[in-house]
Amino acid sequence: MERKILKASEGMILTDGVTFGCEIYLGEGVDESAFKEIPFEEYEKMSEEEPYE
Amino acid sequence: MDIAEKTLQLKQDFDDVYEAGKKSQYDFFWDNYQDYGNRGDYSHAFTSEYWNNDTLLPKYDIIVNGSADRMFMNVQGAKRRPLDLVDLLEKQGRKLDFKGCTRFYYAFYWAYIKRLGTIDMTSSTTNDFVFETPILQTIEKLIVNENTPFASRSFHATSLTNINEIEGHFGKNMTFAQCPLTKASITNVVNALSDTTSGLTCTFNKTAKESAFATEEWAALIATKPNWSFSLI
Repeated sequence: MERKILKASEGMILTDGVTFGCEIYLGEGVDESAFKEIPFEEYEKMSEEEPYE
Repeated sequence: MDIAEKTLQLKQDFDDVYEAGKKSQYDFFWDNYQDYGNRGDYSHAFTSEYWNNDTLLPKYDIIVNGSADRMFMNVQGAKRRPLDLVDLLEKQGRKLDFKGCTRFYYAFYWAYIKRLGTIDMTSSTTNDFVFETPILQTIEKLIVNENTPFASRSFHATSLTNINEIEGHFGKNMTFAQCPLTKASITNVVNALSDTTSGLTCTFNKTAKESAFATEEWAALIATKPNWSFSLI
């Protein structure tokens, strides 16, 4: 199987809303159009830990 | 007996009584803390700095049949002295068994433990933040099944290099983006991905992957799981 590889531009990261990646090796049947780029900073903010309660 | 012999005997008797007293206190504490070996819910059981290599000396096997929520959360955190959990329990002749554990919520969160033994997660329904700690380096064995859930921060373990053995298969989205896994450990994870699911993604740390694999090696490895997408961060 020839995998499609998606690569994010400098300073950006790819996401389909669930998965994130600077490089994504698509699996069988995965639609590449589901992925869009967002700023890496935005991803980092999303990934920040919620305060422990 | 002369006076000298009587004195020595008295000292021995005193020492025997002292040791018996210490043992009695040990038994009293652990019989109650582990409910004479019947305790199954260990949530919060060994959290905080006061459980350490000198005090975590259980009398009974630790068999978790209920919750392990926050079980070792922040253990030794304040004083930053790693707990040698595997060696400590081995020395005591005690097992740590998670086979019936139903929850691992924050179980090892910021625990100052470098090495974990066998972690059986097959009965667990909640594993958020389970291995979120900057100290953990090695998990000897993970036991999972396709229903074992993991969240985005389950493996937020920034020093985790070794997952030496995985029994069972991952059947959910997995992320090891924070883990500097070795080549062998990345290979173990990929080999453990389910062959029957679809539309799932496994994420690895980009630097770890590039340090470990030549392009062709990586292509060959992920070719074994065409039903998975692979992401690098």
